[in-house]
Amino acid sequence: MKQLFHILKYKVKINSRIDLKLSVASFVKEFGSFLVYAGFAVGAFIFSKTALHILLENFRIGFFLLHQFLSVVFFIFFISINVGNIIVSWSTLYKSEEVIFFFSRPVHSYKVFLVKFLDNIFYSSSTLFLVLISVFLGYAVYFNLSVLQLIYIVVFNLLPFILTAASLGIIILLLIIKLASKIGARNLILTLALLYFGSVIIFFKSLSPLHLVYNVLAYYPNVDQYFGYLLPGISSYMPNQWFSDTLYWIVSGNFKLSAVNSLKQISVSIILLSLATYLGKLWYYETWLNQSRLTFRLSKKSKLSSNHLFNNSSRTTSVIIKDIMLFLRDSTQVLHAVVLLILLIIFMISSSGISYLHFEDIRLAGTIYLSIFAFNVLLVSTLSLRFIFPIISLEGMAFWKIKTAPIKNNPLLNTKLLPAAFLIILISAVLAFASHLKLAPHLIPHAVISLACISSGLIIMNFCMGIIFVRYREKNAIRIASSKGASLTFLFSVIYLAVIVGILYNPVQEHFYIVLNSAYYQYKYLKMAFYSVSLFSLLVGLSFYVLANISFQKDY
Amino acid sequence: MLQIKSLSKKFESFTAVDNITLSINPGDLYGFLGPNGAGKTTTIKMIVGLYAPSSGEIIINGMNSRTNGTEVKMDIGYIPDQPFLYDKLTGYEFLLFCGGLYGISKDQLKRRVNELVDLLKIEDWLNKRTEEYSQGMRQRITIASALLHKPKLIIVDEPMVGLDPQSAHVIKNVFRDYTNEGNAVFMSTHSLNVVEEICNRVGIIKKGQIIFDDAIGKLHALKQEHDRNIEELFIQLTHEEPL
Repeated sequence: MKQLFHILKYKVKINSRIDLKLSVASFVKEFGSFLVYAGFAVGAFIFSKTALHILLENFRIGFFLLHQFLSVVFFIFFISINVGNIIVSWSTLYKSEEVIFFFSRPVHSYKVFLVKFLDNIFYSSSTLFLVLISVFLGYAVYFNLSVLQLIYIVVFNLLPFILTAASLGIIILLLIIKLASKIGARNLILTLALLYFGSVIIFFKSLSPLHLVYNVLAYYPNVDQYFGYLLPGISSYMPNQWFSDTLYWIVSGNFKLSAVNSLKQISVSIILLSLATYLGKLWYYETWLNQSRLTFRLSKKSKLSSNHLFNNSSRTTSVIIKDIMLFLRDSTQVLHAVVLLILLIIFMISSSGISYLHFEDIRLAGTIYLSIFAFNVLLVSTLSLRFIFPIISLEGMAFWKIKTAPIKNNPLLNTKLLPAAFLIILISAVLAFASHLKLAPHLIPHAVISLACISSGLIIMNFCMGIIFVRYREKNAIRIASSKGASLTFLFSVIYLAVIVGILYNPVQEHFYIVLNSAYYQYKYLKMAFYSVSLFSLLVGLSFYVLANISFQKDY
Repeated sequence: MLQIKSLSKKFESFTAVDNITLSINPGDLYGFLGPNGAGKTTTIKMIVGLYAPSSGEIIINGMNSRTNGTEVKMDIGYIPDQPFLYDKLTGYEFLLFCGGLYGISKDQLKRRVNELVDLLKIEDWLNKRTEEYSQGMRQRITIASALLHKPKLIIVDEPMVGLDPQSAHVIKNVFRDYTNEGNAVFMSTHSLNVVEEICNRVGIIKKGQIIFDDAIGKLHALKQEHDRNIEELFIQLTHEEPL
């Protein structure tokens, strides 16, 4: 145990240290980062309070529906941590040089396992914690909760909830690796992915949020009472439901029922964390050793098939082919791309079924439209952060070869950026098309163009920030995409998204008001808003592109 | 000190290490030679527990490395070819961190660090972050971290890569003195002159098999017999054509 605490003490020391160079530029960078973080925390706090005010006092949905809405948010949050942890853990537990360092020292494998597990959660999720704590602070202030109640929510509910999702993720990963040697990795991962996403869809179908809303609102104005009997039976076994129920009972003043749910949350997190540690003790070292065999096999196979691609290639084609080959040979990159693609497809299928004609409340039509549009932007932002931000860092310590080759900076930047940018813009166009198919088919051309421009802005922003916060020493794409620079970029993206929603809000509401009231398609203001957003995005992109060029000239 | 018995490592159909057997005694400075891809690093990774052998045994100080992994590692100091250091720690902090992994008490650790600082001549760099270090300094800190717990056996993979003559000289002396104290060093290297200069025993591995394992004197005798220098002899033994 002493050794474990010794390692954790040094890990905290390492992760809390800032960059070494003390210059005006680094001071501005650090101070700017601090301002963005602080601003974002305040923004999340205000957003939380305002959202509660709108939902409870304008829409009057009542305590129960509010907390069911939170339950769905927690469910998505749970899935994100869970899937994220499977992917991040694969890379940090099995691909990290630090693990090699520990395994060549007298450190027991379960300690290495625990250290890397905690490292995953706290290293990748610091921004998430900041946002969540600000959101819960807004919640506590709105409902007049005491500081102790806020601490109770964070420590005894939020933390166990995150630990449960992360532990479950790591258990699934260990099972995959353990079984992969027997069944075959590809088939196993495909089967598990289908099972996983299948059960997520079934859960949403069984929950049927729209029916729940209608059933609860039938009791209006008595909508603050607990309508648990309207929920599917499976809900009572879900950590997201325990969490939302805890909050519901706290604001309803029933501490006993709230404590029961917290107790379930804490017990399950302890059980799953113990199980993950036990399995780690049992299997981690063995699976780590087996995994090196798998990597060796994959690399031997792929070497045979690619050599001819580089024959007679131009300089730019060589760089593109090299980037594609490296991407395809990095299992974490491929795995994450596949998972995100599946999520995108699920989102496209679900959103393509929503029609604006379903909404009896006119304000709801505009709000839902904007939410789906914003979610499209958020998905593009996630793709950009994950795949565009690390592009230059991933060149790593081998970048000297390209830097010393007779290629100018500008064409090199374009060569690195354009193939991935083209793919993401294409995905954004498909996303816009699918989500508008029934929701607002008359807006498809404007939305597609607008989202393509927004995506360009986001992509270039991520690319540029990836150059400013470049980390050549880090080989792991996921860790680069969860670094401090990446968190900052994500916060910038959210601010960018807020500006876009701000520009579109009134024109969209007005548009749907006219369409639903008079069946008359009035486009003028909405078109202006769409094209303002597009212009704004292109300007943002251009500014970041210039910045990227300047930043790229710094010392290697 | 180290006994390797019928050790093999297979990666699917490829055999990286093929049924090798060798032993190293206290006081030995064993030079492990071989062309690129011959199986040197794979052998080393099996000894330090980073690869599981496909078959065979590794016994260190009477303990089987497979069944007593953690205990065996207490007796080993491993110096990899690509040293891993935490960029944000200073050299001194890194050494304290490594000492903690071996459970060395604080006072003892500080004394030992001071000894190694003098031995490896690293005092000027000790309080700088390792991200500022040159290859030679990184290597010296790694060597210091491997010697902290006074292991009986040191396993070194390519210790001279990228070192300036001064650093190489320091490191050669450290290994020589260490074996003179009754410890053993198992050193994989491409530097034939280093082997000639400091090793008392030599092993040559080719395509996963040991083709020579004897005292350095035997290699000198072969040199004279064939009237060749060590480089020519190595090429002849491993059938590698000079470029």
